[in-house]
Amino acid sequence: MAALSKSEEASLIQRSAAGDRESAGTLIRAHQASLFAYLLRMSGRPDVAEDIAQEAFVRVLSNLDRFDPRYRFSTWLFTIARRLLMNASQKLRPSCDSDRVGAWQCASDSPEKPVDDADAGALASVSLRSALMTLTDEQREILILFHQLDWPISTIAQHMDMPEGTVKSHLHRGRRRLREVLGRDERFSESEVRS
Amino acid sequence: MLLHHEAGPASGGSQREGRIARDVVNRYFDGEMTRAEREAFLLSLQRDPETAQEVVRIRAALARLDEPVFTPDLSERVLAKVHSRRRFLSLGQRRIVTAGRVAAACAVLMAVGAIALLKRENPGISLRPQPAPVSSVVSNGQADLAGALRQITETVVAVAEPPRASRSTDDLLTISIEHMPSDRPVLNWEVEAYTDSGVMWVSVSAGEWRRLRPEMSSRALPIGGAVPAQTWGSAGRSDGLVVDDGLASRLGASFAPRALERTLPPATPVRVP
Repeated sequence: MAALSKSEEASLIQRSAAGDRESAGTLIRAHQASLFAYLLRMSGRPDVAEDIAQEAFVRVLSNLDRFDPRYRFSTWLFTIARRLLMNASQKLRPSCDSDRVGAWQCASDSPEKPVDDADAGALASVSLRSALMTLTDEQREILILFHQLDWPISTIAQHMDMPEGTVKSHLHRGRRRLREVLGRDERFSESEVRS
Repeated sequence: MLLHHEAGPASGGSQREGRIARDVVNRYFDGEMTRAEREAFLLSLQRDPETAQEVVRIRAALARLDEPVFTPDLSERVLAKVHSRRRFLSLGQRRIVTAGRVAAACAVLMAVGAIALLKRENPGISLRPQPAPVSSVVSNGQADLAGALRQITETVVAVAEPPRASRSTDDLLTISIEHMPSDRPVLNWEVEAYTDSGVMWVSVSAGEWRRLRPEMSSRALPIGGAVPAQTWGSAGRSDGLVVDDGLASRLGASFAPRALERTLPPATPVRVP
């Protein structure tokens, strides 16, 4: 779905707050892809990403009258989703026997792990997901917000409540780490060569 | 110049000696370079193959982040859930709901305030509902009632008829007396009573009228009958007294204790200083 202009979004929010179901649906569809992708990259689990995205939308739409139009709607939505994700991660973490920071998923039970090694694209996708999980929570989130969602550093700093310099440090370390991990990953290298 | 190369230490042991500074690479990926700087940076990569390879790998890794992700359509599920929690209402309906909530909150606050004020003004008042008093008394037998009534009435005066020359049903009233004997819970009785010149007479049993102890007058609440304000209690007060005309008319001419077999509504004590 095409990105909404600020005025379009403001109008949708106003109408949704007034009880217009169609506008609320449009608002959801405008943001669900980016939110789901963010949550998927953060959690590594589609089921968790879907549940949290749904709950975040429910909370936002139930409290639209509290929305401050001076801020970006997406920032508000992502902030709520982030809190839900953090809460969920605390519940889910113990179930996985991993000492990796932020690694939720157990390598053996990844729901999307391909069984056919010929599928190089899917393999690379899994490889990327595994690599992301080796980053710290902050590195991963900042990397996703900056490179995937194109958020400016200043917005990320506000979203994560940390100085811009700290955001940049996490970003640089995360990028380097991602490159190192993916560089070590033979499967990724092979798929890179093929592509 | 922004595209400076790193100089290694004098020993020449640095692995990045002569290579493009890492800060420059970061500025490139952070999108902080101007177009001219970016072009210069890309040209400089030709002289630094290691950094060039690193840049290629990072770009490849970051490009993976942009790969489309299959996203389920959440809109219908979300809207259904929102609807179940908080129905989509029109602006007018929402205002009505909001106004109703505000009114309800105000009512609760006012009630709490009123109770607090009432308790401050009347420290002895009890807001707890009383147990079904008459029925418990009745279960103990009418003899108990008469005995209890005798405890709260003056023993020096016992007459067969109230000391009044002429009786009129207009002067009769039914009172509820709250009494707290040490050995039983709060009791309320509904008995017939009669006031004369500030003295309250209570019908203890058929043909026996006794004078209510002055301290008990403050616990007597008329719940029926015609009560001339000037004759109520020793102080002649009528504040807060409820006179039910319907009950007064039903009292009729009989002097026998009545209404003992039905449950009284919770009585509200009246404080008479």
